[in-house]
Amino acid sequence: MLLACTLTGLLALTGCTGNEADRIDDLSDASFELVNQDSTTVTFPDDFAGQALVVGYIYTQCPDICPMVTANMRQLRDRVDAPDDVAFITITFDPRRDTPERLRAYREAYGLGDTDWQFLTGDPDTISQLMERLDVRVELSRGSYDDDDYLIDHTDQISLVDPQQRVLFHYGGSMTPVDILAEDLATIRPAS
Amino acid sequence: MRVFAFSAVLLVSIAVLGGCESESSTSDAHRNAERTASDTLHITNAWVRPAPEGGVTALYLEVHNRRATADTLTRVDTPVSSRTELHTTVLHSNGTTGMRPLENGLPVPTDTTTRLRPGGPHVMVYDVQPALVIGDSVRVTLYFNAFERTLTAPVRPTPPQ
Repeated sequence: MLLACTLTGLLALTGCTGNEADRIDDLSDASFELVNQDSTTVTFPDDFAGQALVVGYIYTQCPDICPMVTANMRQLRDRVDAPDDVAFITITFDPRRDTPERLRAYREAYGLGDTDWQFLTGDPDTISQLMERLDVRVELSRGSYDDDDYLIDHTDQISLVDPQQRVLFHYGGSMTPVDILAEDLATIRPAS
Repeated sequence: MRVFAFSAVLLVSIAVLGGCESESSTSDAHRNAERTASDTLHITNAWVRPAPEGGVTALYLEVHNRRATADTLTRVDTPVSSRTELHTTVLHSNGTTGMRPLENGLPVPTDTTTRLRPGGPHVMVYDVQPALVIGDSVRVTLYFNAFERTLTAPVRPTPPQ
């Protein structure tokens, strides 16, 4: 049985169990061509078939909330001992600035350079469609996309996707206790 | 461990205070009259997040104002960046979150601990040069209306316990 969903006050959560009827979305029909921090093409979610996914959303010009999302995912990864059947994935919603090179530098700054944790970006249209599909809202709050100096209001979110590529949980990314994430993740891992 | 000299600048005057937590607050004239020269303003628990070269980071700290008068954090300077801004994080009714500049600076009321903390007020540091790696230290200078304070902040991924 899946654990309770954490609704951090930020998200309207529509599915709290792994039951077919309670899933938030089914990504098995989706295919988004992205690129990772090493400029390698990644097809999401196809390239992660058979794995449980922990997905976080950031932009690297965000010094406060987004690092908390990354830190929360890192604590979860440490808690479950980085198993091979779970993929940790961070997707930027600021593809104009977050190039593979910038994502690689960010990843290394957070001590993740030696892990298989992938940081993904893509062309703006693809990222926009993916964010919409994953219920991540992105709005400019200052500046314009025409220059390099803007701030973004965004959903603070971590998602869990099961090995059948069903989106089962959205959480407040920066503040959901790792205990809750770990217990829910345990229920959707392939070995569970 | 590397040590970078930081300094900061923040505009101030008044206003939008997101996330000040008051231990106690008083304008009691009698109490103020009993204050001594030891009343002061001091800073604790300063830290900054890691950042790649050219990236952004946030500075967090606690300001303990035990002086008889309120003050305002107006500016932060650092040699690792030519641009800093005082921000607070806001949560919107549509579920999104984001940052807003504190155009008038960060008020520091008397007899109060004002916390710059994750998810609240913080100093945003742009275009960090060079990269800030976990284990580094950074010097920062905080400018208040009546004071300035220089201190060293460790680079760490999470707050000090």
